[in-house]
Amino acid sequence: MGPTLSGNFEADLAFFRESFDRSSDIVFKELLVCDGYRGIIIFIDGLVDVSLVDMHIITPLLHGRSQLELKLNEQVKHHNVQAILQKSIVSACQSKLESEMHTIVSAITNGDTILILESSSEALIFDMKGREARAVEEAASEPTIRGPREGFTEKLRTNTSLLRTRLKTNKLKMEPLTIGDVSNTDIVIVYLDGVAKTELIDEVRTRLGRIKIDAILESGYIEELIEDNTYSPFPQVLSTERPDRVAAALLEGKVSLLIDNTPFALVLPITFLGLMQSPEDYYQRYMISTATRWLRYWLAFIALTFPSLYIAVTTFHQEMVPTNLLLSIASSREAVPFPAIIEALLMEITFEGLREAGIRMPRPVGQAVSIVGALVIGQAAVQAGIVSAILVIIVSFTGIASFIFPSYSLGIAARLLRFPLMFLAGTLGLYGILLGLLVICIHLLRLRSFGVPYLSPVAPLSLNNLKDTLFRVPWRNLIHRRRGIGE
Amino acid sequence: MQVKPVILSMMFFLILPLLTGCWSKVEVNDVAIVTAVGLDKTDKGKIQLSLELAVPRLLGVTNQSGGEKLEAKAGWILSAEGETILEAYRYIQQKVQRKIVFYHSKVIVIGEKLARSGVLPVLDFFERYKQSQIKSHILFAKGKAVDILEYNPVFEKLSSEIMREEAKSKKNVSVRLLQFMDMLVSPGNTPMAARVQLIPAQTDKNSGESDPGISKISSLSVRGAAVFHKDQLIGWLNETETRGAMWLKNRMKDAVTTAEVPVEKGGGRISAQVHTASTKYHTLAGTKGITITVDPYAEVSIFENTSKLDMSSPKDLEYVRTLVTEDVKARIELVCREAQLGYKKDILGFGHIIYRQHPKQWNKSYAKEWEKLFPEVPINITPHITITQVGLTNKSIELE
Amino acid sequence: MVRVSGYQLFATTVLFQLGTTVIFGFASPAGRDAWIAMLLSAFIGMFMILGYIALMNMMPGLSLVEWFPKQFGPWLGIPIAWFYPLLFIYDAGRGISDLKELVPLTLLPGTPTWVILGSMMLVIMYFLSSGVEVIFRFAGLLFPIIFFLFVAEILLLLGSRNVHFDNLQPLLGEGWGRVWKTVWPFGILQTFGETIEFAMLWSFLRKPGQLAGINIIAVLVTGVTIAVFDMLAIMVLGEGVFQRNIYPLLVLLRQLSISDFLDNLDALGVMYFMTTIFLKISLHLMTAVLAIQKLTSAKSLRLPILIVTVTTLWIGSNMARNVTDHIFVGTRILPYNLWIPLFIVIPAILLMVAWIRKKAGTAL
Repeated sequence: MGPTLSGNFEADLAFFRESFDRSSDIVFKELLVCDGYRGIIIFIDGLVDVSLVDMHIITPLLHGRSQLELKLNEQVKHHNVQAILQKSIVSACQSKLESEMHTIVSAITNGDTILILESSSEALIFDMKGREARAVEEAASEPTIRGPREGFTEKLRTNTSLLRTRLKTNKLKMEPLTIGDVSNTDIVIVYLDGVAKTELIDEVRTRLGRIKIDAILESGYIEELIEDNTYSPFPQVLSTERPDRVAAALLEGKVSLLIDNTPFALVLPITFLGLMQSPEDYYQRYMISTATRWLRYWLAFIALTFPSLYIAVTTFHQEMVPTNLLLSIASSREAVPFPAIIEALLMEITFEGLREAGIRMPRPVGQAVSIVGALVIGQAAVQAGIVSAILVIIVSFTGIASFIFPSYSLGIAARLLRFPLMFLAGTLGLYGILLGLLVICIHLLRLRSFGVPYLSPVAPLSLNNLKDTLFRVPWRNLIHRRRGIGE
Repeated sequence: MQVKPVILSMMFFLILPLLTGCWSKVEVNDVAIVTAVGLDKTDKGKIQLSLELAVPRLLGVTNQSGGEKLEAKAGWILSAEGETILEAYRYIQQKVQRKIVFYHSKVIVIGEKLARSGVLPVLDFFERYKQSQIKSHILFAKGKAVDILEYNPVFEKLSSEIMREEAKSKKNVSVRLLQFMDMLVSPGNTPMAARVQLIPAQTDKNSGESDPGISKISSLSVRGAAVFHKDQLIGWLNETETRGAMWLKNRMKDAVTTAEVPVEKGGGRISAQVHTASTKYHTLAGTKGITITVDPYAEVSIFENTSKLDMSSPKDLEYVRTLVTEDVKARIELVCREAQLGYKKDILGFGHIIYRQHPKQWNKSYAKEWEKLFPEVPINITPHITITQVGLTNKSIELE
Repeated sequence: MVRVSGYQLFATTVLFQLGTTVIFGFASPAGRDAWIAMLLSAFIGMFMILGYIALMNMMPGLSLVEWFPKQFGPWLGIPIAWFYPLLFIYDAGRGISDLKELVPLTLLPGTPTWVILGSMMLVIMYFLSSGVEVIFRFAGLLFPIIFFLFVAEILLLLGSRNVHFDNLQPLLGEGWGRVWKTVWPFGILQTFGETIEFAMLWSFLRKPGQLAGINIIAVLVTGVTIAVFDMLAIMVLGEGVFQRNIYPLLVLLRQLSISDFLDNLDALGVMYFMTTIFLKISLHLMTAVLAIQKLTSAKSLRLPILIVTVTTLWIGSNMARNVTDHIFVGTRILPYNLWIPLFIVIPAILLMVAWIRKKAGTAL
């Protein structure tokens, strides 16, 4: 327990002034309530809706004096003034009394409005947050053709409301939590009571409780701090901008974490195949979704291995290519001075570089750079005889394939793993690729996300759950699934 | 602790490329791709190996300069002699800077001289060497194999392409090395393979006025068959005989038979196409000796009818059926007679059929004397023909 | 506690039994009757495995190496039990030796063998350190893939018009002699006798009642699969090539071509062969590690894994100079000197002792 309000108005005021010195955005507004009581309102400008403060605190205090006087006369005792204010004068819906200095300070930093009256040892805290926030927009990182356009925003309250509108039940629980010694970031653990397993929720609570960090600036911090295996390129927690996706996950008994100041919510536990699904799979016709899923699995494999297969086949296993194709590869490589591995690495790195540059550049420039760059470099490199035309096709196909991942972070993992595979292919050919794939496969089998094997329901096999991974069976047959996952 | 193996193996795999250099690695533009192999025997009794190497520069699609002539041959023929194939191959490798690779060679051409002295010594290389394709087509050249390889084709860029396409086509006894060897070693069987030859340009008639570009070009044709005794070539079958042999070897896939309608029935010809054909054998091997009954089954459809027969009348159709049956029978008989009376050797592998159906007797008594027995063995041929389609018309056009 | 589902045990057993047999072709000395030999071996092998299971049922919850001390007493039992992990390591070494022959021949002709084997061993070490559960899950994952490839291969071969059913005739033309020679002892022991290793793992099964059923189905699936491949190889290659070739199924794969688009799929075939070898070696080593752990009551698996993998690598890279040696030892020496005593004689004695003791126990 830290120091509390002393009741000495001057001293308390001095304490707050000192706490917030050199802060231009803090507002101390002194008032004289009923001619007798000095009062002060403290808040941080920009976090608070000033018009609300004006309307609901200042105006009643200054203009509702007659009523106040009446009440004060009835109850002479001083210390009740706060309660009277809270109950009958100030028309704010969320308010509470607090006497501890430390809590009051953090309430101020959190965007609450404080009212302290003379010779009172308790402060009134009003929630009148009115920070400027982005409107609810379409999720930029996960667009869909069919499906809700709403995406999460940076504002925690907006995000909880987006979930609440989707799951209108009192079973939807939202446990608050604050993490970060400096940032004091608000985090909400969301789950459906009775659907999510209690052990899972407990595990989430303990893991979150273990976090010792000064600041949480994005959900990525949390993700890394609570995942099972940090030494893995694969995401073990799903991060998504889409409320419908979170709602669907909650229905499956998963737990979601909403974090203030980021539009990315975390969902856990997650499986590899879960990451390969897009929310749109459930909005479209099931046959199409199934076909799309298979296309996705296939292209994911290509994104991972295609360049390395090219290297392996052209430098170690030429017998696998049909004669005519081999001859045309050979003729297109005739002028290329580098070995295939160097050629492929060169192009892959260029491609990844272009892609990264395209993201970091200001948007209008970025697109131009990536498109023009790819065209110019591809065409020019072939004509200059630095790379073969076949390779440009392979690299661009791999590029397309690597955009197929519905989860961006899984896509990055595949892009990263492509390079070691290329090295392996360059030294040991298909044997190397095989070893590489074995290691990846074993790694995936070892991984767990909050106790759930990463490759389930494929390994360990659960036929019932395959209905929603390898295929997307019609909803009619999928209803039982709701209770199945999370085991 | 759990992480250690990950880091270890990652380090290993990252260091690997530095350590290895490139052991087994050959870039595509450092290999010389063999598309066809030719084998001959020289006068000194050595093996002459000829390889057709594809030159990608001339084959590829990237030649946009347009300056090169279309008819430039993209294959390069190299020959060398040696006691064994490997030795000859080494000589050729010395002449070529690129590494010669065999796995795309799909055609093996063996010259007549080598074939007549026995092919067994050269086959082992192709079965043992891991780069060689046991599914290559094996062809026997009338003349020297190297001449066949050097043939400059019109449509394709490589002579091997032609040979492969021709060998694959259904009208030939397409025999792959694998099947050839199988026939060679299975009891009572003898191999048979397609014949390839250069047909010289026809200059006899109207040569003066024909297009000078075409008439000078001779053509490469895969026709007929080579027949063997053990592993030695003993003769050739012409096209008609080959047809008969294909019926016997159960390789008839697609054929046309033409039956002549006798004059008393109105004359003319009827051509039928064979859709499906399979040949069954019934053999009797008892104390009295061996009898072989050949039952070819075939479904045919009438394609052309220049006779007066009405295809809508069951009677006429039945008559056509007997005509076709006779035709098939005659074809098969022709080749059987050739084998029994001409070569006096079982070039068609009847022995294997006996072995298949009567393995114990074969092993016990016939195997050794088969050569003596064969010319006397009665062979009955009873084709079973079904006409399934008659085409779009009943009767042909008749002029009053 | 590790718990393994019935499906996983089934998949692991089948893949283990297929192991290298898929590559070397089974019973090629029996010529065109190899598939009969295979089915016969599977049938006899099944009873042998049921014998092991009977032992398991008499001593529930105990694994292979714990059987002996239990029945024979520690002084006799523990030394006998030590034979098994050593045999498993030796068998794993043979697997490595298979790789040593196969990889340079098919995939990497010029690469030094220590790199090939060393890199494989590293992956195996990683695999072993992941624990038994991951191995079972891996097999569960692999099984559908491998069988999908098998089916694809069979369909492609049947579609390739190279299949000649006549090649299977005459059935048993050379009599039972050569069939029987391949069935006993090699056929039964090599493919099915080694399943005794699973006695180390059976106690992990979630529902112990399923054990016999799983094994019977697994043996049948293995038997039929190999028999089908033998038949295909004979139908496509003909008896002569099938018998003469060291890797008949590899040659078989070479006959495939997917509509002239992909040729010579043997390299791809070798990849999945190698995956099954990989699994088999890992299982050999895992059981050896578990046995050593049980016998020495070591706490951590780390040290046993290291010792076992290094030993195997050493054995594997030095045991045979060439494939002829390797196969000679595998078919002539190994079955008689190691497999018959360890897979048949000792378990049979054990079964008898256990049975007598049980009788005596109930009588008292």
